[in-house]
Amino acid sequence: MNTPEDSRDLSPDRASGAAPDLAELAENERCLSVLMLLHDGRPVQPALAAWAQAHVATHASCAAAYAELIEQSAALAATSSRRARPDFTDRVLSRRAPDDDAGGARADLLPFVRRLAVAAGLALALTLFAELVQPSDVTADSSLQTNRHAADHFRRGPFGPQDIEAGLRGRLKDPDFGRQPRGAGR
Amino acid sequence: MRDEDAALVARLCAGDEDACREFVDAYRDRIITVVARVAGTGSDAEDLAQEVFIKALRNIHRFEGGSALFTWLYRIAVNTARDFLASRRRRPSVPLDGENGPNAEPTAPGDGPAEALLRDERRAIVRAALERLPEPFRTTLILRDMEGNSYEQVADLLGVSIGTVESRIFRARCKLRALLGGIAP
Repeated sequence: MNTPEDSRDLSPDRASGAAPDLAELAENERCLSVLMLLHDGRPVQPALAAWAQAHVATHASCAAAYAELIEQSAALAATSSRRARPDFTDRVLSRRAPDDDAGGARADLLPFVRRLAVAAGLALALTLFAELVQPSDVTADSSLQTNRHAADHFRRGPFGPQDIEAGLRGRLKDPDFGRQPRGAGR
Repeated sequence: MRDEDAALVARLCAGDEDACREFVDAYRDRIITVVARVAGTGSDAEDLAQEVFIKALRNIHRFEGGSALFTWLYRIAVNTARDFLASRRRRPSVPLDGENGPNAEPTAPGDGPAEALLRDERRAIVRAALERLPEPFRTTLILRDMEGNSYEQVADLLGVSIGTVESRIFRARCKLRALLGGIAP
C-alpha cells in the first residue's frame, strides 16, 4: 500500500536529507510502529507489513529513525543484570524469622483485644440497662412541696429554669414574701 | 502447578528452612535486577528485593499455581518496585547506579577498547535518558526491552490490555529517541 508521498520521496530534496514535512512525519510514525511490532515478533497484517517495508526502504528519514529505535532497544537489552551480595539469602531469612514471631504474637493478641473490647461494651450496655429499668428513689412526698423550687427545676413546662429562677428572685422583693399567713401559728 | 514448583511450595508452606534458602538462592539475582531497573535505584535494590522475598514467603500459602512460581514472585517484585517508585516521586531521581556497579557490561566478541568504550558510553546515555521517561512509559519499556518480557507478559504484569502495551512501548521508544536528541518520527 504505497502512498503519494512515496513518489515524492524519490525527489532530490529527500535524497539530500531535507527536513521531512508533517505528512511524512505521520507516515513515518505509522511505518515505525509497524516495523517495531514486526521487530518484536508481533502479528501484523501482511499488507501493512509490506507497506511498512516499502516505506522504510524509500524514506531515508524513516530508515534513520528505525535504526535509532533498534539501536536504543539493543542498548537497553544489553544492560547487565545485578547480582546479590553473598549474604543476601541469610539476611532475608533472618529478617523473616523475627517478623514471623511478631506476626504470630499479633495474631494471638488481636482476638484477645477484640474479646476485651466486646466484653467491655457488653458490661457497659448491661449497666446502662440496669440503671434505666430500676425505679427511681424519688417519691412524691411532702419534701417535694417544701422544696418546690427544686422540683420546678426539673419539671417540663413552658418556663425554663432561668425563668423560674428569675421569678423567685423577683419574689424576694415582694414585702409579703416569707411572711407567715395569719393564724398559721395557732 | 508445575511439579518442581509444587514440591518446593509444599516445603515452603511447611516452613522448611532449606526450602526457603533454595527459593531465595534460585531467584535472588533476577529479582534484584528487575527491582533495580523498575525502581531505578541502586543502593535500595537489595532492600526492596528482600522485601519481595519476605512478602512471598509470608504469602506462599496464597500461591495457587495458576502461573509458574517465578512468575508469581516476579509480579510481586514488579509491584513492590512500582509502589516504591510511586512513593519516591517527590524525591529527586536517582540514576541506575546499580547498572554501573560491580557487574561488568556484556562485551561483544571482537570489540576493541575504543569500540567497547563507545558502546558503553552509548548505553549509559540511553539508560540516563530512560530515567527521564515519564510513567507508565518507563516501566513498560523496561519490562519489555530490558527484562525481555513478551507483550502478553507485560500486559499481565501491569494489568492493561495488549493494545495498551503496544501503544505504550512505541510511545516510550519515540519519547526516548526524542530525549536522546532524535526528532519525532
